[in-house]
Amino acid sequence: MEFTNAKISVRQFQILIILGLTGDSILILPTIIASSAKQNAWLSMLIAYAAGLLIGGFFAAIANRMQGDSLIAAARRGFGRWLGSVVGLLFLFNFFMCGLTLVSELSQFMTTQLMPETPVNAIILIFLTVVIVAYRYGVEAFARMGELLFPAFTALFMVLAILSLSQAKIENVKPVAAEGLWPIMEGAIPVMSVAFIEMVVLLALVPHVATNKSLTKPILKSFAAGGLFLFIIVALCVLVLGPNLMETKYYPTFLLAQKITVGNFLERLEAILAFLWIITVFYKTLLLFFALTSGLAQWFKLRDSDMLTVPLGMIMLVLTVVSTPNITVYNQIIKYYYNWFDLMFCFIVPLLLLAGLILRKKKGKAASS
Amino acid sequence: MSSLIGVFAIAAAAVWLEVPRLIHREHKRELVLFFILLAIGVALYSALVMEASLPNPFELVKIMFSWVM
Repeated sequence: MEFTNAKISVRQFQILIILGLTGDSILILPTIIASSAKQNAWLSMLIAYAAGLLIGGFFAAIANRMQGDSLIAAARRGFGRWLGSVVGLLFLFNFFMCGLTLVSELSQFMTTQLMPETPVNAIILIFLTVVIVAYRYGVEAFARMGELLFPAFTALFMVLAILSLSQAKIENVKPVAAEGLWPIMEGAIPVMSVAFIEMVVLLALVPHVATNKSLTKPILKSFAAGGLFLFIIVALCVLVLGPNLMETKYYPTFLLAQKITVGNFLERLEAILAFLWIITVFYKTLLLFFALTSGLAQWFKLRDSDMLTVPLGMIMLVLTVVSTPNITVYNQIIKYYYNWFDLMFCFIVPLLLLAGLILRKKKGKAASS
Repeated sequence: MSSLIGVFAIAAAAVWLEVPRLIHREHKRELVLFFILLAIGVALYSALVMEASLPNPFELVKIMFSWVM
């Protein structure tokens, strides 16, 4: 297949994971965590961070067993042709739904914060056009672009974090764990699902990584770096805004950036945050679109996948508009049901894949001995 | 109405861009899947423009996991 020949370096692979992991989480997570954990949101984030590293290890275990195969090919190797195809289809369904959530979040953010008078269809159309163009340039091109953008992303993030620090109030984190551990754990669950478990999409990149070595270290390092970005953001939101503002505002991180003023000449830094967020959401959406389109081509054993991009983009555009009738309905579904969806499709299905690959290998060894 | 014309224009552009290449390379399976997905995309978009009620995909998530709540 012509689209599986493209190779990216381990460093590019790591950068794509970091950008994907930061993804939509940088903007939407603080509200979701604060609704359960309040001022202990940073503790929830810390727990989720530790769990996220374990999840990274779990994905690395699958990646190392894929032996350069694509996700669909690995599923077929693990479960046989028919059952493997069903497992592959579950992965594709997950990538499609995750892609919809990201485009929905982007359209909501743009229409409520930045461009309230622009029709939502136009925003989604332009965004998906960029995603399609990036996909058609190939994984090598967008990985290289990620490599170029990453230093700018890190530098701007550091500027935002350092400038916000001046307004931090330690009283905002008190009292610590006053209502026990349960609200803290409840706050950690959405972080685990939205930020870490959804990165199952990295498995679609594995056959393109130019290395014969284990991918455990690179994956764990990128999960650690991405998790650190998220921890800093959540901690700053608690310290600067406090739990009430965090809980009631849809985009507390945006508010955090709005609060920065340096000597009456450095203001309106929320544009930087919007830029950062658009980069990370773009990369996460692109990874999902890549996994979906190339996965669909592999599922149907096609020799090319580029021709699927425009029709899939059209379908995504319509379903994004339909799936976001208003922000309240969307947030209710995301808050109460989507974590379960993530748990099922981004954790249990990959767990089945891992079990299938281990059993197949044992069977192969037994047969050869 | 202009949205409808727009979506047909996008579909026509996609056909003009992809189909000659696929025919030249004799990628029949690719061609079939391309037309199926394009037909679904155009039908969905037309339905959206004509304000037909389309099912919300996240309702599916709600149905799948409502037993948990």
